[in-house]
Amino acid sequence: MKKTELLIIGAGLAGLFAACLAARRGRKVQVLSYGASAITLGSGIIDCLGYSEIGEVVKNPWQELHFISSSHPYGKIGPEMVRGAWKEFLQITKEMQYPYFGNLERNYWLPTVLGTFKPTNLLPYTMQVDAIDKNDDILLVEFDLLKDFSTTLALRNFQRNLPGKNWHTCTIKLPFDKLPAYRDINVLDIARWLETEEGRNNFLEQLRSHVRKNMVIFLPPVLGLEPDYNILTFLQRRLKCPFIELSALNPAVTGMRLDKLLRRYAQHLGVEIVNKAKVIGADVVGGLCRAVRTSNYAQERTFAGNEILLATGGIYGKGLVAGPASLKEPIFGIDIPVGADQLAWSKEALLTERQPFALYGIKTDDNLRPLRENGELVASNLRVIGRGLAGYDFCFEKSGNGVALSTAYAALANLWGGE
Amino acid sequence: MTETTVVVIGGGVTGLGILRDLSMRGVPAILLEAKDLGAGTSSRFHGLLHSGGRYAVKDKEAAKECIAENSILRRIAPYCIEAKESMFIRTPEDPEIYEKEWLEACAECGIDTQSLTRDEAIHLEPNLNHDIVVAYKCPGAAIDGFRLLWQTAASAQHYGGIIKTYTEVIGIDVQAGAVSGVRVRDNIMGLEYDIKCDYLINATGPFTGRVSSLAGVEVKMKPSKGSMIVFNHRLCSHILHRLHSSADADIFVPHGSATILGTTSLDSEPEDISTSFDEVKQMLEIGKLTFSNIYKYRILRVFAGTRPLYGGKEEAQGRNASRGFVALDHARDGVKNFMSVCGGKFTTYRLMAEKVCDIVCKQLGNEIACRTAEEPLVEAVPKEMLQRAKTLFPNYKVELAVARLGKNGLEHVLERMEQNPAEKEVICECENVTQAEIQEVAQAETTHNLNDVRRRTRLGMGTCQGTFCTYRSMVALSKTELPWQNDTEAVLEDFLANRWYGIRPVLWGNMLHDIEFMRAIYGSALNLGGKKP
Repeated sequence: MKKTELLIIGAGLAGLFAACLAARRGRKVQVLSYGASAITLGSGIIDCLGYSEIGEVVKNPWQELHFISSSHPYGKIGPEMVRGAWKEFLQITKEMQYPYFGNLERNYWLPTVLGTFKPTNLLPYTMQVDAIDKNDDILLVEFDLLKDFSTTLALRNFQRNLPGKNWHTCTIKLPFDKLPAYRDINVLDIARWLETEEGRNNFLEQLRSHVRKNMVIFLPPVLGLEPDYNILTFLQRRLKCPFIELSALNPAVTGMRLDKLLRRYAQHLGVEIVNKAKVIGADVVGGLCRAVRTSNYAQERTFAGNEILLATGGIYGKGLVAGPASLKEPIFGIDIPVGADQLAWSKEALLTERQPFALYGIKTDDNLRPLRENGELVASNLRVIGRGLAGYDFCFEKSGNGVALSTAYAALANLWGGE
Repeated sequence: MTETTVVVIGGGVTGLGILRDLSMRGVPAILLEAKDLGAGTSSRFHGLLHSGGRYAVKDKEAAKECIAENSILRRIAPYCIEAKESMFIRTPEDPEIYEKEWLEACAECGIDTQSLTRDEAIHLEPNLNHDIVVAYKCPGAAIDGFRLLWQTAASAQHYGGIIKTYTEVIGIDVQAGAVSGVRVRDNIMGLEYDIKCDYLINATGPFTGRVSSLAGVEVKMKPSKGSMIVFNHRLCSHILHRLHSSADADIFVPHGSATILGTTSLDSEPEDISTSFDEVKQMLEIGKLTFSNIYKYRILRVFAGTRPLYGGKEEAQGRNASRGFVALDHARDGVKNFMSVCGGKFTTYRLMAEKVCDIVCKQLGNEIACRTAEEPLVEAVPKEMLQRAKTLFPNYKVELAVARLGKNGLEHVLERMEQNPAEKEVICECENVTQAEIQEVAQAETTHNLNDVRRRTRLGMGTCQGTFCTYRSMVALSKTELPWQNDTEAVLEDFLANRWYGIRPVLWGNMLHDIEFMRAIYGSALNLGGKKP
């Protein structure tokens, strides 16, 4: 059995980013991936901290990071780790010719398909949110067959949430002569259409008549499946308008682009990504994790690494598994203390309160190494990054992708120093 | 000035049954419901159409009524009922002596039983615990409460009955020792007004005492809460009962792709529809004796309802009180033209209504006979219409929509689809609800929010519990001018809150996983309810 330098369990944002960082530093990396990453479900934007732990709007995340509690992953790793992660993320996306923009000293408010706004920090240029303040005319673009976005619905809320603008709407007719059987059209279909020359030209012609100079265009996330700006550039050269892809429900085209970008970058640097590798157990001997075992199609395999990163996610990624009054990390068998009354796991308000179950996770030492309930280290060569960590509610705070990137960076820094 | 002959208070199955019967006898009547139809106990029960087997030993009168009404309802409400069989199973924990008593009692009440060996039972229900001793088949059926309510309402409206939802009775006018009318508040418009009537019927279930006190009459109620667990699988094809003296959590009722396990029995206040984790644990432990793998099954949500038990003369409480209903003519309390109806159960609603209407109509001098057992609630859907539906509906399960809508409803939906093909799209993919159906219900007079739409279409009641369809239905409805849509964020929050309420006590496994996803969409991606910058 070959032993790699860094074995990463999980190819979500934390796992993939850690793989990229390690590979940049010349390390040999192997990633065990099972299923699709949750990146492909989100908008592919990087939240840092949109709301504080008590729900206050954060104007300057960098500043806020200095006051966050030590039980929060950001508090545990320290603000410099976040800055380091941000720097490398921006470098990687630039190298892959799909650069992001943004900085830690301010938040950006990205409009959503609902007509609300969500705070975020790093965005691709298909979401030119800076243009909103500079222009008074906004065009909302919907597609006749797309059931996931209605300009009428969005407008009702945008008019309340963003007063003082001139709103315009238009409906693009999709010329699909053959509709998919048994399902409706979604943003993926439109993105595929725009990847074709015919589709792009058709879209351009239909848009043209509605667009005036400096009009900001809000549309669902459809500007292509690939992490490049080809479609955006094509449209902007001809229309001379800023575009903003709205934050939307999945299928998340924009998230898929980021996933592709990171996978390609990692593989380009020699990272080995093993797919369909479901890790079911680990062998910890003498305080060290010697190997992990995968099971698939009734076949078991073992993998080993000098250092291991557990990046299996939380509840959604099944990195944490919950039963009645119990929560467990299944690979290393870490029991997580939870409320004995299931009702104590949650609060009455689904969205506007920080939820106890969201805060549940794996406790670690200052080096991100997981601890059992009795305080013992699980293994000295094991670190946890991403959603599996305790102490934060990414939905309430809007901090998910930021914690993934930052803790990945911090684990690497802990292992081999900063860049 | 609004006036009518009879005012019925309470939009549950009792009130609606009475409205239908009165309307069919030609008596002008208005039904008033404080919230949406079936917001109370009538939508919060097992969904069991009793064969009477459960009551045969302890309450023979109730058992006989059940078996008779069971066959009547199968005839008049075929779209609401999934005809099945019940299976009474004796586990090693159940006393042998009860089996004998039960068989004798069923025979006396005219309930057919057919014995099965252990192997035969397991052959029919492979998931059953293999240590069961013996089993008996007898008639049974599952009934969709929402559907029955709305189809009863449709029948009542067909005969001229008027229904006002979100209209709360805030006062009862008594003049010279007789009711002359009610004062109401329209909770949507915020208006108060009076309705004059010759007779008032109080059918408010567990709230009977609260409403009667508006006329200065005391009715003692002993409300008792029962919780239920909904599994997201069809665990069995029969309705499974434990063969023992009625106790908690001893019935599993399959409904479509779900199974309901219940129930519990706790003294409560009528508004209490909460379920505690202790109740959940208790039910699962008992349910485990029927299905040893029960902890592996996916739980969808829990819900609770309040039994409208009369606390008057018979002091017996909770499970042991009689399920027969009580019709209290308040003339004996000094207030004429006023009756309260309480107790009873869903299965015998039609009979309860018949008895009440016989009394009331006699007083009003109306001699028309009751025909509610003879006529179906809604017209059967003709074959040609079904064929037409199959060409318009986008995929399978046309039958489900047909059962929900009945002939008239289906006609409207098909017209919509023909005039606007975009309305063929499926909005709720878990329950296969099309935009046409949602539009039709959303625009009804009685609909004031998305939860009202849900109760009539099953939007958001399936596997994803509204994760996708909550937003998508608002998109679909956005082009229609509906007053209740204006505050979109409030509508969405209200709908999600309702789903969340029933998930909290069972927040583990797949449901916790799905809630994480729901929060990621509405909290993280859409920032619903988030503070503005």
